[in-house]
Amino acid sequence: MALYRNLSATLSSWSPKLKPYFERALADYRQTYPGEAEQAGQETPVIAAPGTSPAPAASATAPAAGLPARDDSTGPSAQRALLTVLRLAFDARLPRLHATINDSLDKLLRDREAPEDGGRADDANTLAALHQVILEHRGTRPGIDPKASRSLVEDITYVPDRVLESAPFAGALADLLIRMIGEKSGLRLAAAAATVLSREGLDRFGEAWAARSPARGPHDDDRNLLDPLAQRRIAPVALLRSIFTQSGEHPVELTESWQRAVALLYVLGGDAGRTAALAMVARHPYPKEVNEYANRRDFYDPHQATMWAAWERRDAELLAIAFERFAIPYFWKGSKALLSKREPFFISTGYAARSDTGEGAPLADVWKLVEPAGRVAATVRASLQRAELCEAPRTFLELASPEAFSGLGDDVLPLLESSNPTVLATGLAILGRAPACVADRPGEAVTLAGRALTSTRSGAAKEAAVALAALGNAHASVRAQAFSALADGLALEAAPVLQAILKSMKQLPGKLPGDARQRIVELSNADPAKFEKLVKPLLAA
Amino acid sequence: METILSYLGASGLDTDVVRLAPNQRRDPTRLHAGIADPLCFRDALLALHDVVRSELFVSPEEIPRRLDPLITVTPEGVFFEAFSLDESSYGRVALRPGALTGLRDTSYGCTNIDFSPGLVSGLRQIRSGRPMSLEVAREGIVVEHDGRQDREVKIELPDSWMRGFLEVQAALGLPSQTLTLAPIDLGNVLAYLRGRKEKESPRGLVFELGPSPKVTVEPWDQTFVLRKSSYEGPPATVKVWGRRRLLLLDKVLPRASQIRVRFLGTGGPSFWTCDLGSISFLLGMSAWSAREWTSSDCFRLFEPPAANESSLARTLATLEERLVLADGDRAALGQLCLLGRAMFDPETGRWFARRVFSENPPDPAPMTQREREAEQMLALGQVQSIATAGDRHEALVKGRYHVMCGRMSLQRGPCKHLIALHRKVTRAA
Repeated sequence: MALYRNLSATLSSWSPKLKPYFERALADYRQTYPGEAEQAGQETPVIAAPGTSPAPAASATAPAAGLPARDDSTGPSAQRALLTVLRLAFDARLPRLHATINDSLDKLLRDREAPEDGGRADDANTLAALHQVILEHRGTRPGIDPKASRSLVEDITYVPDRVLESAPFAGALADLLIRMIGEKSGLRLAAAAATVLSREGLDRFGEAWAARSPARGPHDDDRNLLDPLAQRRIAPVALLRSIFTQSGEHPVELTESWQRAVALLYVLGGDAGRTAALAMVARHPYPKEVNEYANRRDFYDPHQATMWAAWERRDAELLAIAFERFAIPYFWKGSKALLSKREPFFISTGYAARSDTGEGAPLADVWKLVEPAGRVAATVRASLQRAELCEAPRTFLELASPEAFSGLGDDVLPLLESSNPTVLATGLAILGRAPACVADRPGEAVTLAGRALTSTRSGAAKEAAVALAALGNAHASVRAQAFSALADGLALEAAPVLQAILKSMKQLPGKLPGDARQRIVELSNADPAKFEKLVKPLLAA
Repeated sequence: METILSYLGASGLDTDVVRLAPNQRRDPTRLHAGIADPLCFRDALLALHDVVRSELFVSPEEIPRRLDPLITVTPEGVFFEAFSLDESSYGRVALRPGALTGLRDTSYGCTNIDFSPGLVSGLRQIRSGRPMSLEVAREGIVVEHDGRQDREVKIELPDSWMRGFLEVQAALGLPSQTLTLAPIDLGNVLAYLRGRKEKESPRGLVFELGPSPKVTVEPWDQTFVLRKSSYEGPPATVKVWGRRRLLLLDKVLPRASQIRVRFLGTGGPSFWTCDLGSISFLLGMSAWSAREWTSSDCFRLFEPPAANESSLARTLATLEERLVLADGDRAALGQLCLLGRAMFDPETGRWFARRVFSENPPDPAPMTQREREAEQMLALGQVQSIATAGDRHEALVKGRYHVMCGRMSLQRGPCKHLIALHRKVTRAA
């Protein structure tokens, strides 16, 4: 019944490919057990699962709109909470309390080492109270069937968040953890704070952490910090911002943890969280090397959720920054790029990054939304400079209007020198749409496009033919040169390319050289269906 | 054969300098120079990289077997050579005088260079707008690789791979039919091939060499007239298999002014030299892609009679002193090529000193069944002469009876009679 309830609650977030399978299973259940299905339907879905309902369009000032309300099912894992108190007792040098907590743990989880003596009595009282509260209130997370089979490591127990929020020791506990922040405290202490502190305490802790900026430990794992936050659905802005932006370009690439942090901040963090998320996305590093496997469009679920939430909120500022920093998750449906649709999602799945969710918004529409945000020029320039490195900038260049390339001829021409036919085709497509951008160097552009005409890739060759016509029309000084390059291309044999060349030649006034005329006649005679119509006006001229 | 590659840092593009990390275990080869045409240099090296990687698939087990390209620095040019994983393709980039400017701090020799993904990434970012230079040096600025500056790799190279590398030298020196191909003509064939997948045999390219050369793509029988190409020589028909390897020329084709193709006959290897001005890229293809150079071709058997020890030593001394020879004892030079001590450049007709192995060369290839039979005939004094009759040949065996052998095109390599006679003549000399 719990499974039925949870599946029903999360069904809207499944991809269209998977949804029918579960719909069928749910229908079977309703038919077989109508009573239980009805009972399950009457109860509130309580699972702490990723995105349970689509977030409606809302303003950026109401970031959490559309999310399920925090209810009695939210709260950290009880086992995690117990281990946290155990480690805090160790760090606070409270051997007796440490021993007591140790005894309350499963044998496999117990500490073999005891701390030295010397801790403070008030700290012992605070931690003992916390320990007691955890023991008293721990229970099985609502909505989860305890009899269902699961892995040994999965913890289905939890401590309700309301208990931690209203605990009388909450203030003292926050003071203790703030006192413990030091050079060597590492991320473990922040993870402890994320597990057991109240919201107010966590805010204070985050500010203190940001002020002292302790270094990360060599074995620190971001998941220990983010998992309890995801379970509790809270986003301590100061803490997350401090941890994920503190050193250089960390994280070097969009790691899953980084994306989870951005998602927590943006979706749950309110205005301050949004501001922090903007700052983090704006620091997302550009690729440095050519890597055919890093296309910069595949992202983890949390980042897809962030960008989808931004799209639903019509948050042009964040999306514009994401475009500029190549942090837009998208996938291809035929020749159409779509922004991936993903409901709010904060947990770590362990799956590889990918963006093909099956549903999404046309990327062209997203681009239109962000155009007024004033970052198009920077995005186009960044994309031109890095078109060789990955796919995303090339996709964005296709979205940009011809005016966006004005004055960027010096950045467009290097694309035509690329050894990668896809990059070459992108450059040629730009010239085809915006030939005016190379007003200072049209001759070079024609030479490069003429060379591309003989490419063994028909896509690039056809783009070259279009670009030559556009250049010839836009710049009178190179019209003859463009016409001559097209005439040379008549020695090619691929029919689609020849058709593109003939169409381009039709657009340019020029005198056909003798051998070109002969070749055109030959083509027309060889395959009238393909060439006759295109050839006639050329021969007549 | 075990080869050790030891690099200090990794090759890569460092702002405007292409830094190539040489093998620390080899000759202290050095080079500093400007690159006259960075785009041609880039495309030629990228094409060489494609040759190194070319195989239908590369399994993780086979990757360590890859040998990084060899660089040979000589007074008359710099050569990069590589052999494909499947032993069917050979690539050579030649930087002739004029390709490099402002040469300084040069030390001639031969070594491996690190051909890492970082270098490929750097090469792909080269553009014409700024001057570029090439540096091969053991010291200097070191580009870190995975956070480490030094690394050493031991590679177990199959003997067939090493012998194949040497057999190419023998094949390069053989007489051939030469077609001067226009890039657009080859581009038409490649574009046609790229758009189709053959599902049945035959899968050859049939070149009809004559005043108006043509090529037919099987099995579709699509004929392309090579309008802008030329051929000077007796009319001939040559069939080439493993044609998709020609797509390895894709990167250099747009910059090539012409392609000189040397055919060694139907079923024989072919050599495709793309002329990029002062840079050339040579692609050597074995008869077909599933046929490595050493299986039965035995190109060394076509070489002139091997020189005696003293002539060999004398020629080697002269070559290593002068580094380049335009002429000399051809037999000895051919023998040195097969020993990995020399390299023949068919474009200039010169031999260059080049030491493929830092230690001893691999053992000579074991005798094939045909060679064993030939040895037996030789021991019994059976083969006395051979006469050609049309496209067949006739061997006079023991003065009593004649043996008619198959076609003279030697699609399967030389027959036992030819091998026996060749050895007889060689030993007599």
